Amino acid sequence: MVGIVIVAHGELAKALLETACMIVGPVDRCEACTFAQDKSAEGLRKMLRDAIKKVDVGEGVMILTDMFGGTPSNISLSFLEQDRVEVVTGVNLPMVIYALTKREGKKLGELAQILKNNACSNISVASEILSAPPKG
Amino acid sequence: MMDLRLVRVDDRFIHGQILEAWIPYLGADGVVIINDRLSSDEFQKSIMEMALPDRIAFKVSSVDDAPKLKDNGLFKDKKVLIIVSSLMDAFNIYNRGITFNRLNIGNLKVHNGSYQLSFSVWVDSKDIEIIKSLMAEGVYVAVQSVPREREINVGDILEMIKL
Repeated sequence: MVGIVIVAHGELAKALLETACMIVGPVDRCEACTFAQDKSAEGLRKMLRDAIKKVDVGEGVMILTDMFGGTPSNISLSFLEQDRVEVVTGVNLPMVIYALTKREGKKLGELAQILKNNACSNISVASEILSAPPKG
Repeated sequence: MMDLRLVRVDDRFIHGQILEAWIPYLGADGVVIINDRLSSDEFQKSIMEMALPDRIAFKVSSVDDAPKLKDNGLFKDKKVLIIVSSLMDAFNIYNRGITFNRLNIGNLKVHNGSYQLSFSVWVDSKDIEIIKSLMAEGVYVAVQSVPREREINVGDILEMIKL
């Protein structure tokens, strides 16, 4: 099973994981790394290294991070390793839930592609898919 | 000739605060990182380049090559933000002719830093000497992580804690 690490600015990663667990129940092999403003990038690197080790069962680790170009993403990318560690940016709640529930039996690269495609197609503008209800 | 808008000390280089706050605030269309280690790290360089919008001219330079930036055509008439990761590098580029009259300190986590100037800035006694030297040159040194946050004059802090 692919291990999952969520890393984002502030308390976002922790909140995403806790919220996802509220919906899907308790999960294994998933860690959240917070990056508070008073913490150093080096501290985050160490936290990530420990988290990767913790969730890795030899089938690869997926890092889900918030925004490309941000420090959590920059540090994550330094762990990138073919078939060992993959990074997907733009994490949100549906992505976390999908990753946690659909990772069984999937290879790292395959899961990454599915997460990306799924996330892109899962954002919708309500009025584009529904017509507005009549007033009154 | 580049239009140097801000020199910032930030040990995280290009990251969220730069992309989402400083670049829009300064109206910057050029970003330069001056750092010896990063100037030879192609992987990190390309990550940072990808994170920046295409309209932004970008270069990573070593400290020794910094003087050449002034005449680099890439930054001609561009509003430029320079980022260094230490006060020592800020001081070194100043002495090599990249002069500035204000210095912004955003993120600085000095190992074994003895003094905390803000929630994201730690300095040691050598840094304080550099800040004093720059102030003696007439440079205004301030701590501010993002533009919407109040700026703190480092001179005031040093006076307050009698350093």
